[in-house]
Amino acid sequence: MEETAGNQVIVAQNLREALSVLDNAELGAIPVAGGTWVMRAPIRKEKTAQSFLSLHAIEELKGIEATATELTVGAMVSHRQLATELIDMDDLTSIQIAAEKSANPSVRNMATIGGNLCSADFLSPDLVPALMACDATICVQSSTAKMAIPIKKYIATRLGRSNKELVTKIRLPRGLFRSTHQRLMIRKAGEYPVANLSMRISIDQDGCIVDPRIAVASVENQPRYWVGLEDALRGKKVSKIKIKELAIDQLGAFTGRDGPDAPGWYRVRVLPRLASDALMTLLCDQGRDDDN
Amino acid sequence: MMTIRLKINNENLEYHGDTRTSLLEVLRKSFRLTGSKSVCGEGFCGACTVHINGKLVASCIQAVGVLEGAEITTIEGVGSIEQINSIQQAFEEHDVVQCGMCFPGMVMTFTAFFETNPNPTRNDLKEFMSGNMCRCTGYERIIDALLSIQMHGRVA
Repeated sequence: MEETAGNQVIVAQNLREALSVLDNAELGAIPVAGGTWVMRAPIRKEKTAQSFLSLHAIEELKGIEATATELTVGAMVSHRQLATELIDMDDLTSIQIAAEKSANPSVRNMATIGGNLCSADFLSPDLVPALMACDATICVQSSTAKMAIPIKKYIATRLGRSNKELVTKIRLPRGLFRSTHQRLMIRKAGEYPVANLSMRISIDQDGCIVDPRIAVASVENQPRYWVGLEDALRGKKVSKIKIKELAIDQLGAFTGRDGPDAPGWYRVRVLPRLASDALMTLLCDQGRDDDN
Repeated sequence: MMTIRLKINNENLEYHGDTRTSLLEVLRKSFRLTGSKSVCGEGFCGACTVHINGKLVASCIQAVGVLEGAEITTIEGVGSIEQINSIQQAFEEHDVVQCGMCFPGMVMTFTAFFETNPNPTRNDLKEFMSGNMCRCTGYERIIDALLSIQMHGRVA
């Protein structure tokens, strides 16, 4: 690894090297995973960082490992790889769909799960709500500490986290639940989702919903759990749920953000439909809806 | 100033400069390969699409500094004036080129696509075209041309 300050990409060969670059304030390096967000700085009229720390050569950040109880995903795994390797995992379908539908084929080849998690100012991520719905744990490392942080806490703190740490992997519990991901686009291409929603449920032997998780992104500046709707669904018999009505009752939790693609009120108003489509998909189609 | 060694269209080349620069800018300004177009600058429109080590990539959001030793194919490298590839051939036969801005990217995208999807449906093609925008909105005729490749059993 060659380290000189300014106007360059530093390619770290392992995690230790990467963390030592981040500890060196003179280099002014920011970590770059797929690069798809960082490289848009000029378009967003933001200053380009003094140096990029590329993580692409670090083996410790690659690969997907599956056991019966947990999936571990390296932070540098691309959307395309996730979409391909999670295809038969019914409990993690929300993540597979989010990875498969996000952006477009060439961006999916480049963009990584770690990069998506760390781009806190990206307003319409698909993977983040999917990871929230699946109760991910985010593994973070600095030169002095290793931490495993529940995703709820990670999202709540990510804007203020130390710039000397890296997300190394994401751990996902596996089990007898189903998950799905719904997203609304105005057009098929060339834009971000107006609103997106991930849902995970399991159903007990009496036909009641157990431990629902619903996460929403794109509607506000940061993704969040839809706690009111989770509470409204918990313990309900699936045969008697009128989810649209329940969702409409819980819309007050959201303050939609206005954007060039859609006004805030619209983002909020479409949520009951997304929630309804998600639940119907989970009950009927094993989490997969080819029209989403 | 750092040096990045690249193999572009089977030619070994070296880039000297700011390695945070996008591959697109390097292709166009340093190597005068202007077939890849600079349009949206954020990986949405597909006009700058190239293949890096066989993978489809938006070159406008790819920093050149991570590409040491990479093999890159641009629109200039997929065919020749004497022998255009089957995507280019189909576009010419169906007279689909309008302003021409999106076509280098369209050719690159579907050259890669047909290598792994020889018998796509119309929907498959539309789905995969989500990263390529045609500002002349000539999509349907582009799809017709692409479907003819399958019908005629040609290979890209």
